[in-house]
Amino acid sequence: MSKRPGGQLAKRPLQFIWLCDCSGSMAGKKIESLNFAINESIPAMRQVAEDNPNADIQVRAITFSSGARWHVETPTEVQSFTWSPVNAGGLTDLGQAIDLACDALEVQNMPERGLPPVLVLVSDGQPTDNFSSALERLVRIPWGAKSVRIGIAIGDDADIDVLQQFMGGDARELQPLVATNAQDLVKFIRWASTVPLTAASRPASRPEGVSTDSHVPVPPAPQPSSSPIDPSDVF
Amino acid sequence: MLRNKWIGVTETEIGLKHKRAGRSNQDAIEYKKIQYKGIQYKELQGVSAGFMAVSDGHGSDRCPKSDIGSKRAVEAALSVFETLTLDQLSTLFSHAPEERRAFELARELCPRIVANWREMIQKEEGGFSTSCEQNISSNSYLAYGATLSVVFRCNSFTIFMKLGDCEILWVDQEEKVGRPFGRSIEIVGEDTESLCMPNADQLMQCCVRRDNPSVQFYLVCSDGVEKAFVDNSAFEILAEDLAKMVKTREGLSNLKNNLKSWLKEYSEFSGDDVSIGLLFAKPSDRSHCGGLYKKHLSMSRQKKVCMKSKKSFVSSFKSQSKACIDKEVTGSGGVTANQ
Repeated sequence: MSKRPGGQLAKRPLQFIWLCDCSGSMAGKKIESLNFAINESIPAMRQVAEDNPNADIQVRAITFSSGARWHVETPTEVQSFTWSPVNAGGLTDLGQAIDLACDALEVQNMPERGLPPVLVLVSDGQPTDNFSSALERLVRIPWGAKSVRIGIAIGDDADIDVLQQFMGGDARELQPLVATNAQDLVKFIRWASTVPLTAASRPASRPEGVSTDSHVPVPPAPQPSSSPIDPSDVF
Repeated sequence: MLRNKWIGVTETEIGLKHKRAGRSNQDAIEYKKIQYKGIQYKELQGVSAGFMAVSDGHGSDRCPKSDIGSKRAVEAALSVFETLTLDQLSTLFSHAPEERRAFELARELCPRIVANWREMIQKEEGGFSTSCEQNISSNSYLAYGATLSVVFRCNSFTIFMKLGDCEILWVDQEEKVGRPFGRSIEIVGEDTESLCMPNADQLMQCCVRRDNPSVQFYLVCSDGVEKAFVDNSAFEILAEDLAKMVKTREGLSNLKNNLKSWLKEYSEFSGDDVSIGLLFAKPSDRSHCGGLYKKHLSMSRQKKVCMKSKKSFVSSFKSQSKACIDKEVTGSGGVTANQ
């Protein structure tokens, strides 16, 4: 066959960002389960990448407690991504974490041909800083508005309203996932790291201005476990 | 009529994401050489023009019928250009072309295309139950949402129209790539302007260029093609490469044999439906030897010689052609390629 015309072909970049609550209340079973669940989700994410060869899935991670910081700042190919365990301690500065994500999602920092980014927020409590203004910024910047945002609550003390606000869209379509035990957290983390990723890998174009949400249609999330749970696994 | 003979080549390939979703190809593409015959065009003595259009249906859950929307989009545009009035054609085929008039004419056609499309969609639905204005404001057309880009090339002008993210490029004699419209950097991700938007008739961009002999190649494509490339420069190399390819018969044959497979490869990277339309002057009218011939004869004399003594012209031309090719291959001077 003749040489293909045109320059270099490339997969379309898709950024996946973990936002992990590492506040003091996450200490013990919760943070252990979070580290385990994210680590366990990596093979499934790699499978998603293989199943969607047009997407170049790149993983990053932000942790927040007293302040926020990059845990994995450089967008890392999912095939070479590994998870270093995080520790718990401090407050719950979710607003700063979202601001960090916004910095990464500004137009000048994002690839032109990028697929809608996926942000997964995992938290067990209530923000201790100015979360609202950060969230306003997130939905105002173009790539933030286009992003697929999933919220996972750990335990019963998490602020579901905050997570729903983070997810945006219609609460009837997709609601925060509530994990009250380690088993469910693993299940929800696995879902959040694969299903929205698959959906974002195959976006449809849409008329500008028709909707303010990302409207990457995401299939429904799994339900919490109904089978008996080991009491030691309950948060 | 078109002075040189022009060729239109189109090809399309469904994207992986639509295959997996069980959807059809959401792109539509059409090329047609429009012959203006009929008694109403008698004064113009049978002019013709090249029409190329590509449309990309949104293919989402909110736009489940956008494959129909894209087909109707190219049909709507074609029907407008096929039914230009004598007065309009006179403007476009004038020997004393007035650019401003041509632009005003083209500008008038944009809302007609949108209106045509809406009418076709209403027919698809068996007629909407509410008024047209209500349909527009409630966006009853969303299910059929699609983009549209058009190139209409006639003697004196080329008209370009663009609504959404399908691209139009040209390549000139110096292999420089140009676009009638700038790239929008404000729209990110998968957002695009669309025929289903209430103000689509105002959003449709329009550009008219005087016929430029140095530009004999146009490329129209859906965004699935552009998104396969690492960046804009790599995408523009596609236009350059294809423009070079179609300059020879061998290249044209190569194109026709391989275009489908190349599109499949582009689709693997973008994941989207990919459609390409090429509008270019036929290779024989841009042969390397044209320059040598023009060097010695004016255009009018060329025609007379051809008419009077075709055989002697052909044999003479062939021998000069060989000399011309030999000169070009060896790099010796004196010949300028007639593009």
